[in-house]
Order: sequence, then structure tokens, then C-alpha cells
Amino acid sequence: MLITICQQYYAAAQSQDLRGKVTESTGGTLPGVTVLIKGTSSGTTTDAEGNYKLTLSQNSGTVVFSFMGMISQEIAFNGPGEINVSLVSDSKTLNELVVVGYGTQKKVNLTGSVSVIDGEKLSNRQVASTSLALQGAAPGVTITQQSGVPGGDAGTIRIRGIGSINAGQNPLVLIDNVEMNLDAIDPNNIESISVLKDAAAAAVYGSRAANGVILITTKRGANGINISYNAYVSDQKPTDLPEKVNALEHMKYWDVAQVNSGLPAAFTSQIAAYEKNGPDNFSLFNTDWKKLVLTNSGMMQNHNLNVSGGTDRIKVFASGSFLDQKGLTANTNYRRADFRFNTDIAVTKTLSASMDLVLNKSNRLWPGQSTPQAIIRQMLGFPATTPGRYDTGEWGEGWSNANPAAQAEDGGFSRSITNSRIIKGTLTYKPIEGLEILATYSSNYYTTHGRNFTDQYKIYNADPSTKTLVLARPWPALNSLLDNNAANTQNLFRAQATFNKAFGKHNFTVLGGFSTEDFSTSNVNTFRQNLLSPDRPYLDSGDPLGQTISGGASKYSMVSAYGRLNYNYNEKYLIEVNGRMDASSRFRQDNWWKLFPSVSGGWRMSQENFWSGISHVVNDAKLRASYGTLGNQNLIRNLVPDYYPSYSTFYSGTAYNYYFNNVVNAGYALTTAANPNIKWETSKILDIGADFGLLRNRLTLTADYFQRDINDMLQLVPIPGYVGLASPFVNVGSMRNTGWELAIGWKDKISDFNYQVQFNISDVKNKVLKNGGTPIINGANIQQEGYALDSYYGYQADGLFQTAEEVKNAPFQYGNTAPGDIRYKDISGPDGVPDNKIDSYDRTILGNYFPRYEYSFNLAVQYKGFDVTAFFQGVGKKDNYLSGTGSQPFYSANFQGSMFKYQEDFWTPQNTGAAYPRLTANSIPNNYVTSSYWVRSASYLRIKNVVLGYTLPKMLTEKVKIKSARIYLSGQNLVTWSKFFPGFDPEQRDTGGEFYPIMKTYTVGINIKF
Amino acid sequence: MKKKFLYIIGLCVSLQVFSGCKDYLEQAPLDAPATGQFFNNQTEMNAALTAVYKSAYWNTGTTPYQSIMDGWTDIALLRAPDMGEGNFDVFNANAKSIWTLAYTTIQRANTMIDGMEVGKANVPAAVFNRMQAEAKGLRAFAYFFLVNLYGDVPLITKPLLPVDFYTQTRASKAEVIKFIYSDLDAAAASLDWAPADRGRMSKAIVLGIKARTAFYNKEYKVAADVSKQVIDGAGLGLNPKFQDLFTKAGQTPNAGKEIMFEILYADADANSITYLPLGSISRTAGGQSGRFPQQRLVDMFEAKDGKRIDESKVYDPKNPRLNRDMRLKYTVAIPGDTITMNQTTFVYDIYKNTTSVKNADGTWSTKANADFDNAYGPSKSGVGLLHAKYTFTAENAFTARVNFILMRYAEILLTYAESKIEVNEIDASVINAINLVRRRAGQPDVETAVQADQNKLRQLIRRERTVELAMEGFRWFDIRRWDIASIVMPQKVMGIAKDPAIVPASPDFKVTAINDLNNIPTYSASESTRMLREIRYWYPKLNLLPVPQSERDINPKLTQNPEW
Repeated sequence: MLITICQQYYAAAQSQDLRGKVTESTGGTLPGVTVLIKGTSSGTTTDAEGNYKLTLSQNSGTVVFSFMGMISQEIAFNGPGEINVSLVSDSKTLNELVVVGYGTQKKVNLTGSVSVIDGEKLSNRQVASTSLALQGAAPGVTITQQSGVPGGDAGTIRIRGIGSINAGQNPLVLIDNVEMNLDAIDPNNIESISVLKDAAAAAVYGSRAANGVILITTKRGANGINISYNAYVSDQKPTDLPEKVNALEHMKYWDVAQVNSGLPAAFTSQIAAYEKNGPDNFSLFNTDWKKLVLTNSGMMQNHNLNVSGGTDRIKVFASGSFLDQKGLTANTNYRRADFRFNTDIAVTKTLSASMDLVLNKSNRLWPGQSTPQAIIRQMLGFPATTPGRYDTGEWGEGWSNANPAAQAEDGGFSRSITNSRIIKGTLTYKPIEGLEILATYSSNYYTTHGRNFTDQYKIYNADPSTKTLVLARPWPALNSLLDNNAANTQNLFRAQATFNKAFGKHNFTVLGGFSTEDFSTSNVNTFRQNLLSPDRPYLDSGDPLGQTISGGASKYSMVSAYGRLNYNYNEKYLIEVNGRMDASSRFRQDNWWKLFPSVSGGWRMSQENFWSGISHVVNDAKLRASYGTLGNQNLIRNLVPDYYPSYSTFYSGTAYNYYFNNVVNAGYALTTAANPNIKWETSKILDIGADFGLLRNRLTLTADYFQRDINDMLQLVPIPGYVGLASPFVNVGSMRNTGWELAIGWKDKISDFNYQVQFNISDVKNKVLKNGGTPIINGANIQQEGYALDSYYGYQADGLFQTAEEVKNAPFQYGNTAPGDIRYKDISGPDGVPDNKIDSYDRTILGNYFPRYEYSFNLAVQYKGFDVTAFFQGVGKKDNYLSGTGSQPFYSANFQGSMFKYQEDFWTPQNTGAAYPRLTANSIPNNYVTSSYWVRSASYLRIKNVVLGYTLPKMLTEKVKIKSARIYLSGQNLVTWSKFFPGFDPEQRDTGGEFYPIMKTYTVGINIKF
Repeated sequence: MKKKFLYIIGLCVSLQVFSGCKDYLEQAPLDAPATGQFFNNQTEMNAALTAVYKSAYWNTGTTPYQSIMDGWTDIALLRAPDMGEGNFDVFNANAKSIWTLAYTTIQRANTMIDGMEVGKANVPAAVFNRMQAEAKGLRAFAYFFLVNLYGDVPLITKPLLPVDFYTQTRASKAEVIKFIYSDLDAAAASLDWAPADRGRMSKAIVLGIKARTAFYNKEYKVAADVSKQVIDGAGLGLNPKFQDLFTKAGQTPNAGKEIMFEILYADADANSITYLPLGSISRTAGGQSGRFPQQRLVDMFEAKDGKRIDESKVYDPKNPRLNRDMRLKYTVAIPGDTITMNQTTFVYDIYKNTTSVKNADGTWSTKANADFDNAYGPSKSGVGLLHAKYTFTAENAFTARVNFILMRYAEILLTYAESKIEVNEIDASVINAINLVRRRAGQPDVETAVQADQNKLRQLIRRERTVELAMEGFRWFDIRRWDIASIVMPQKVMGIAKDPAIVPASPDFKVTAINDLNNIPTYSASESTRMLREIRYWYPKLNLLPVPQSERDINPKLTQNPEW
């Protein structure tokens, strides 16, 4: 490194100026360089020729020259004069290390596809679930949120599309190399996140990595003492909720539906009564269910205290976090406490040890009688005519005793308490230069304790003859308590050696290791009812009559050996070979083992001689390619892990018991079919990418193309109902995800003004390549060769019938099809040609829910103490299907539905241009079979996050011994643009009207460093 | 020291990975027996058999399927028009659900019958044979429903291997019936007339199923012979009180042993409850009234003089409750009746917004009448009537445990009599069988003039069968067997008087000879004065349910029923 400093003093000090010229070490002038007197706000920037002039307000000091992409220089001055400086390019970006599988690598030497997310960026987003903070943060990483319920609002994470059907679609999340729930960690504790997206990057994780890997590195101790405190308070509100019609409208529309269906009008007398007297909330109701149900504040607060301290021998990072998220309905909240102690000890010069301890407790409270989702669905669906709460506070009957407000408030509680304790110990031994041997053991022991107390609320009926409220009944007939305990242990043992050696310009790294992993779980579930008092919600106060108890245990294990060889020539030509042998107890012995190899290569063109001509513009350029195989065995059935997928077992429990002689007889039944021959599902991933750094790395560009083929998919292919069992797993079919990613970033600094712009866009196209025979149709979805997995499948709507004549001349649909009904296209028939009849042969592909063209745009600006971030996120193309209560007026699976405001634009002979079909009573299927009418584009653009921060001047804070203090305001999901059905968030998929809305949050917070 | 430490680590690792590998990786289910590990002894066989019984409870909304099927016919209706309206398609949820329920029973029985051979040596032969016979009886019962609802169906008699999952085709109805007979004959040979425990299959039940199968298939000779065997051999009799058959309290003594086959509930299991009463009970009594009778059913009950209402001299259209067959009172609740439902005694009414309700102390008060204009109650969603079978219960309807009867002796008697009438072997035993049922209901014996006329007897037995077995799941099959579905189904749903002051004209039963023979009322003269519900449709395809489209989507080799 060469630094040239020219310093010249003028004897004649006519002026009080400091002046000079700033140049680049490779020649050329540098405009826009910040020149600042250290410790003051006095400064300037260089002009177009690189010259500056600074009026001094002090006689001596240090002047700092800083410029984006260059190493800053500090030069002492003593009085006015000329200081000329030559800045050199910052090679830090070149030497930047990236966390990769079981190690780190220089970013420039990466040959696999890895996205890195800075921990700082995550804590910008005030969300209870860390997964949500990743939304839009890296190209190819899709986070979709289905619910905003406390304790259940985590997003689903898909890296480069969907990598499996049943063998797990979630990426492997490793926090300091220990598998852990991403949402259990406070974002404030995260140092960095690496997302491993292709086979080469993820290969050392082999069978666990087919869906990509998210590697999270937590903060560790450093020399000195650092303390920081971060806290925020948020107010949460739904992004959107459908509006419902009022009582009078409900009755009028209901009668329209009745008459349309050939039924008598039902509400004639009530409508007259309402119109005459209006609702009195005693015998005539106009219940605002939203107001009754959404009584909780939706407040969220988070506190995080980090203490880091260390000497050369011992370093400690300790952190404690507390989150409290309240829901929208009573008795809904989520609390999480997270303690982490990361300790590093240098035992000798060659041996070091680290010991990490994580204690995590989460406590989710939901109402006891019903889930928050079901309560909200009832709230959205119940007609306003149903009695909710009388003016004197008593509960009304709702619909058939179900009163969502009473369920939320007085229906007891459902607590789910998870306690987890992770210990991890690592010994690292570096006997010689370049060799590192380590052994690490971690144990994650966690218990879940579910206590669900169903309490009774009292339902009152109004007696108009006496004008009094009469207690009808407590509901449900008996109170009851479920008390369930589960204990889980996950052990991970790993030993590995890494050897680094350079022979001249040939650089080698060899890594080899093996690991064992096992998981065991056991549970006890108990139930008693008719408790003596709701104040003692414990088993002992329950009735032994009708009690049940059950319990069980499961276990699985894996053994793996892995290796990696990196070679590069002069950091110009890069090659990497990976391999992993995995064995999983989920398979039978013959299918235990499988090898998953991968290879990748890179060429740093910018290191070539011929590049020097354009290196001042494109300072870094790399092409890379990788190809490899990953496996998958993480089988899931009915949303729970299946540890014995090759077995079929006889299940016991109340569902199989029977009652000869009025005595409970235990029953055992086979419920699933078995396939002992299942084997590994494999993914073959090809990735071609390029990384560029332009204009001194101020502009960065990463582009990737990938193709991900999943073969021998472990599927639960539907089997006919006549088998009488649930499907076994079979290895059948293949699927392809093809896509590309582009990340463009620009960061620069103009004087005090720092700004960064980041644009990400990616696309994944999913296609079923082979299906093993006939298409698999599952309700509204189909798995068919050549189309996206689970494409929507149904009739093709062709507008609404306008006249009886049209109905008569159209292909036959239903006996009672009438004007105002949806007209379907006659596409085919039993002989493959249209048969003038609408039936199952006329179904066709209607689209799919895979998000295409996902994009995000982030703008961050810092000026003096102010910082502003605006983050936009969107999806360019996506279909979404609305059904059930969501689309059908007056329909619900288990209560009498009402109607949404948006549905008021229904067809009548007077409103022939209506957006929706005529109203019909709920049995008529014509309009609500799966059809393109209810599949709509759910593309959207959303202001995901805006932050406005201000860091208090040091002058102020230092007086109270605070290193820095920042306050901020922020908002999540502030505005959404979409053309999906009104009231429904486009991100929530396939809504049947039962959902917990996604939250819009407003936050105020502080960050203090001591 | 350091080296020793590392050595130990290395050793542990290699031990774990290599020598311990097999033990480490070999995992099999811990808490439940896998296939091949079961059926070793009587306890295990009995546990599997218990689950076969459980699967025979075809539950929809905590209600037995068989109890709602009459709501799909001309004698009753459901709040949502449902199957009775006739506009369902091949995606229909009921058609799929019943198919799946039946085949679940068949799978469990097949698994049991096939699997239990493993432990045969460990179980006394008589017990082994009994358990196998019970499983066969239940399997036949499932096929009985399938063949009568869907016609040709896949005939699966052994556990299927995965290679056979997609290759099944529909066996002809005749072939399936043959199999049902063989299963039932084999079961009958190993079972006693009385069940081993209350709730188990008995010889009487399996022969009863055989008689019913033959009867529905119009093999009246077989039906007559088999039901005669039951009448002669099983030692069954009618319960003295008709109404006691349908309450928890009345079922327990069941003096005449009329109840043969029932879906059981037990107090000791909190989940073992039925909403069968709740779903039909008055809203004034806190019920959920979602299933209602039609006026057609009311009008099919004879008057006290043993004659159809259009021929009776004691029938009073102004007070249709007077002088009627007592079974009417315990089958249909009509406004004006004082009834007890869900522990509430009240006067059932739909015409006024208040009604009389009995207080705990025995006095009466005037209270709000939720049946008056509740949009989902009997006046707005039904046609003014309520079900009285299974609903006149002293139980809390939210925790009811009244058993649902799948077969009772009265059916055997009526099946015997009708079969003998159809094969024209009318003798004293036929008349006696009918009289037994009528006498219990307080109705006069069969008139001599009727006894001598096969057609008059047909008319009588069809009426008798409808009113005796209403709401027990027979009507769907009977209107198809009698070939009258095309007449009775495409009609408006008819109810009681709209205005209590205007008495609707009595229906005409004699529009055609077929109407007369089948006691089909026609209401053209009174339509404007009655409560009405939906118009219903009929297509010949409705004689059978469609094979669920989801089955055909998975296995295209399955054919579909005509015109579906």
C-alpha cells in the first residue's frame, strides 16, 4: 500500500484557510470528497477539480478526508496551509468475509449463490417474528405472511420457489449452526444473515439444505465494554378487513336470495319492525361485531439490552430481550423472553473454547373456546341481526350459542408456553498455521406446555313480554380443561477439520467433518371437564367422569459425513467441490445412505490483465456457476413432522373408541397406508451468476439464473377413498423451478449526506415436469404436468347470464340456473369435445398462487443526525382464490353467514352490469364452484417499511455518558396497492373468509449505546 | 492433556458414527403398533374390532347420517335445501362423505379379518369366530349402503396393496349383493341370536341386514324368508311404548327387545354425544331447529279409525291433531302441542311472538317465542312443523346421548309383511305382523276387506312403513324401490296453514291410481293458504348418487352412473 502525503506550509499566513487537492492513488481528481475537522461539524467537500478550501476555526487539529469506496485519511494540521491528499480504494470490500456453511469465505471468492443481510437492517423493522424482517431483504427469498395473530404471525420462507411437496419446504435455519426457530430470536442479537441459495453454497448441509439455508450469526463479545439498549412501542392495526352490511341490509338481501332460490321471503315482519322502530339492541339488533370483538389494543413493545465485554482472553456477549405483542381480540397476546450468553475463551494460543447458552421462553395466549382466526371469521361472517351484547353487558346468543365476542372475552384461555434451553460448546484447536480442528456439541431441550381452559359464558335472551333479560344457558354445557405437556430434545454433534494452505499463487482450503443428530419427543395429553370453579383451571378440580389421557413418543436420527475442497489460483480462478453423505432414520436400512455432491467455479475477470482498461469503471467482475445435488427427507403429514413415514401404525384414541354396554372400549385403527420403500428426494440445482462492482464499488450488481429440479418427489399422492386410508408417501414425479435474480445497489456519500439505494427483483417459475401418471386433483387445485404445482382448477367463467333465453340456449349447467348466474364455458366432454353440458370435463387450469416478479426497493438516507429509510415491496404476478365465506354471500360452513359490502354489486334485472352474480340461498352451487370468477390477480405493491430516525448530537449525549442515542418513528405495511377483492389482503392466500388480518404498525423506538 | 482430550473426542465420534451407526439409525414407531406387529391376541383383536364399530357411526356434524337422510326426501326438509332440492352435482360433499365413511368401515373390517389370522392360535376358536363374524356383519352393512346409494361399486374384500390402489373398477350391483349375502351368511353361522354385549352384532342383526338388502333389491322371496327366520328365532318383540324407543330413558329398559342395532353413546366419554336432538329442537327450547318435517308426512298418518285422512270420518281438518294415529304426536310436533324438549316444557307455536313456558316450580309463564319469526326457525326455514322423534328428550340437548336406532324389530315385521304381499303369499302371519305394529300404535287391526286385496294391502303397508319408520333413514330407499321418486320429489315443499284462521283444504290422495296406492297427497287446492318452501327438481339420474368426482379424478377407470 502506498500513501503519498504532500504537506507544505506557507510562511505567509495571510489567510485562515486550509486548502489543497484530493486525488486518486491511480491518478485523476476526486470531486465530492468530504473534508472535515475532526470532532467538529466544520467541513466542506472538494469541487469538480478535487480542490477544497476550509476556513479554520481552530489553530490545530486533525482533518479527515473521507470518500465512499476509499479509505479515509486523517492528517494533523497546525494552522492554515495546504494539504494535498491521495486516497486509495478501500480494499475492505474485497476482503469482506461472508459466513458460509461451516466456515467463512472472502466474498470475492464465493462461487455459490449467497445473499448477505446485515443485522442492522433487520432491526429497522419492528415485527414480532424475525422472518417478517426478511421480507424483500434478499432476492429469491420469498416471505409470505398468512396471518397477523400474535404467536402465529410468522411468514413462510421459500428460497427460490417451492422445493418439495411433502418433504418440507422450509429452509434450514441455523443460528450459530444450531437448528432453531427463526422467530425465537430477537433481531437485535443478529450480527449477520447469510442465505445460501444454490447447491454449491448449501452442499455441506446436504440433506437438510434442499430448500436453502439461512445462516444466522449472533453478536459476540469484543474487547472493552459496550452496552446498548433498544426499545420500541408499536400500535398494530389490520391492513384491511372486509366491511359487512348492516342488519336491515342483511335482511333485505337475504330475502332477495330466498326469493331468487324459490323460497319464501323470511324477514318480512322484521324488516317492517326495523323500519318502524329501528334496532333497540334488545329485540331488534344491529350488532357491530367488529366493535364487540376487536377490543384489545394491538400494542406491541420490545426491549432489548445487550452487554458485551472482553479482554484478550475472555469475551462475553450477553443479551436479554422481552417482547409483548397484544392482539386485536381479548385474551390474545404473545410474550417472548430471550436470553443469550455467548462466551469465547482463549485457553492457550492454539486452543480456544466457546460456550453459548440461550434461554428462550414464549407464552402465547389465545381465547379458550375458539382460535383467534375462528373468532375473526365469525366476527366477519355473523349477520348484524344476531344478538351480540346487551346494553347492560350481558351476552346475546350470537349464532347457535357461538358469540365471538364472548368467546374472546369470557371463553377461557388457551396458553401455549414454550421453554427452550440451548447449550452449545465448541472447542477449536489450531495446532499449526492454517489447520483448524473443532468439535462442537449442542443440545436444544424445549418443552411445550399447552393449557386450554374452555370456560362458560352466560347467554341471555330478551323477553319482550316482561322487558327483561332471561338467562338462557351457560355455554358450552360444561367447562373443560386440556393440559398437555411435551418435551423435546435435539442433540447435534459435529467434528471437523479445516486446512488452509497456499503454494505460491495456488490457494487450497480443505474441509472435512462428520456429524450426528438426533431428536426425540414425548408428550402427555390430559383432559377433564366439569371443573368445580373456573377460578381453579387445574385438573384436580375437574370431574374424573369423562376424563381422557394419552401420550406417546417419537425419535429420529441422522448421521452425516461432509467435505469441501476450495482451490483458487491467485484469487482469479476459483473452484469448489462439495460432498455430503447422509443417512436418515426416516428410511428403511436399504435407503439410509445417499451422497449429495456439488461442484462450482468462478472466474474473476477483473483480475485479468486485459481488464485494466475498464477497471476504473468496473472495478470488480466475477462470473460463477454451480451444479449439484441436495436431498430432502424432512417429511410432514397434516402439518406435523412424520418421523416414521415408511410405517403404517394402528392409532388409538377417542376417535376409535366404542361403547359396548355403556363402557368405553379402546379401539385401534389403521389410518394410513404404508410404503416401506421410500427413499431420498433429491434436488438438482444449477446456478449461473455474475457479480459486479462499479465505480469504486459504489454500484454493485449481482445477477443469477437458476434451475432447480426436484426428482423422486416424496408425495402424498391422493389415493381413492375406497382404500379407506390416508395416502402413503411415494417417490413420484419431478418439478422444476426456473428463475432469475437481480440485485442492484448504489451507495454514495455527498459530504454529510449518505444514501443507499437497493433494488431487488427476482422471478421463479414453477412447473411440474413429471407426475407419474394422471393429474392429481385435490379440490380446487391440480398437479398436472406442464403447469405450476397446485394450479387452480375449475370452470372457466364467461360473464353472467342476462336473460332466460341465454340460459336456455347455453350448455346445461344446473336445473335452477337463471339470469344473473355465472355462465361457464363448455370446454370438453367425455369424448374430448364439447358436449353442450357443463360438468367435470369442463374444468381447466385457472392460474396459480406462486408469486412471480417479486421486487423490492429500498432507499436509505443519512444526513447529519437524521436517517430515513423507505422500503417498498411488491409482487408482479400472482393469482389468488377466494371461496367460502370470502366469496359467497350468506354462506358459512357452520353458521348463517351475512354479506360483505363489496358484494352489494350483485346482479338484478335492474343491475345487469353487476360485478357479482345474483344472490341465492346457500345451497345453490351454481355460482360458487371453483371457477375463474373467483380467481383474481393478487399482485401488489406495498410500502412495507418507513423509518425516520434522529441521532442526538454527541455533544448532548456525551454529557450523560451516552455514546449515542437515536430515536425513531417507523411504520410497517403502511400502504398497499392491489386489485384483489376489497377488504382482503392480497398476501393472504386462498382465503375462505377465515383469517387473522395482517398488521399495519406504527412504532416509536429508541436505540441507546453506553 | 490437550491431545488426550481430542483423542477422546475422536474416539467418541468414530464410535458413534461407525460401530453405533446401525443402532443409532434404526428407528421404528415407539408408541403405536405398526402393521405386522398387531393382532397377536384377543385384546388386540378386540381393539381393532372396536374401531370397526366406531367407523360404522357415520357422523355429519355430530349427527348420524342415517338420521338426516329423510330430509332429502318428500317427508322432511333441511334448513338449507341440500340434496332434496335435486340440484347437486358430482362434487357433492355428501356423496363423497358417505362413500368415504363406508369404505373406511370396509378397510377396517378387511384389515381385521385378514390380520387376525396371525393370532388365531392364541384365541379360543369360538371367540375368534365371533369377532370375525362381527367384522363381516359390519362390512356387509357398509356395502349394503354403498350398493343402494351408488349402484355398482368397487368390491374390496381384502386389504389393498399400493399397486392395487388405482386399478379398482366398479363391480356390478348383483356381484356386490352376492358378496353381502355370503358375508352375512357366514356371520350368521358364528353368531348367537343375542349379541355378546349390548351394541355388538348378533345373528338377528346380520339376518336383518340380509333381509333389508334383499328387500331393497326387490328380492322379496329372500327378504320374506330371512325376516321370517328372525321373527321365529330371535325372540324379539315390540317395545310396549312407541315413544320410549327414542329417548335415552326409554331405551335403557327396552322391555320387548325391539332395538336390535344402534349407534351407542357412553356417559364416560365427554366426546360421546349426539346433536341429533339439538339439530331439530325448537328455538324456544334453546335448540337449533335445522331439520323439519313436511306436511306430506303429517297427512300420511291415519286417523284413529284406521283410515287415511281423506277417507276418515273422524279426521277434522280444523284440528288435525285430533283423532290421529298416536305415532303422529311422537313423530311431528304441530303448533298447539305442549311438548318437552331440551328440558323445557312449552306450548309449541309459530303464530304469536310469545308462548307459554313451564317454570321450574310447575307454574306457567308467558315468554318470548323464538319459533315465531326467527329466520332460521320452523316458521321461516321450515314449514311450521318440528320433529318429535328423538327430540322429546329429558336430556340436555347439548350433551345428549340418546342412541340412534339403525334397526329395530318393527322394521323386520314390516319388511316381512311387505315382502310376502309382493310375492302374493298373504296369510295370517302377514296380517299378524302388520297388526302387531298397528296395535302398539293403538291403531285398529287390518280390515278384512283390505286383507283380501293385494293392492289394498300394498297401500296400507307402504303407509304403515312410512309412518312407523319416518326419520329413521328408510324413505330415500323406499321411494326409489316403489318407483315414486319422480312423482313425490319434484314438488313444492308444503306446510301448515299460513294463517291459523284460514284452514287449508285437505289434500287429494287420488289424483292418479299410483298416487292413491302410494298415499301421495296433492295440494293444488290449498297451496295458496299453506306455508311453502323451495321447489324441488327431479332427474332420473337422482335414483343413484354420483360416484364422487374426486374418486374419478384419482382413478379414471371408475365409471360414472348414468347421466351424471
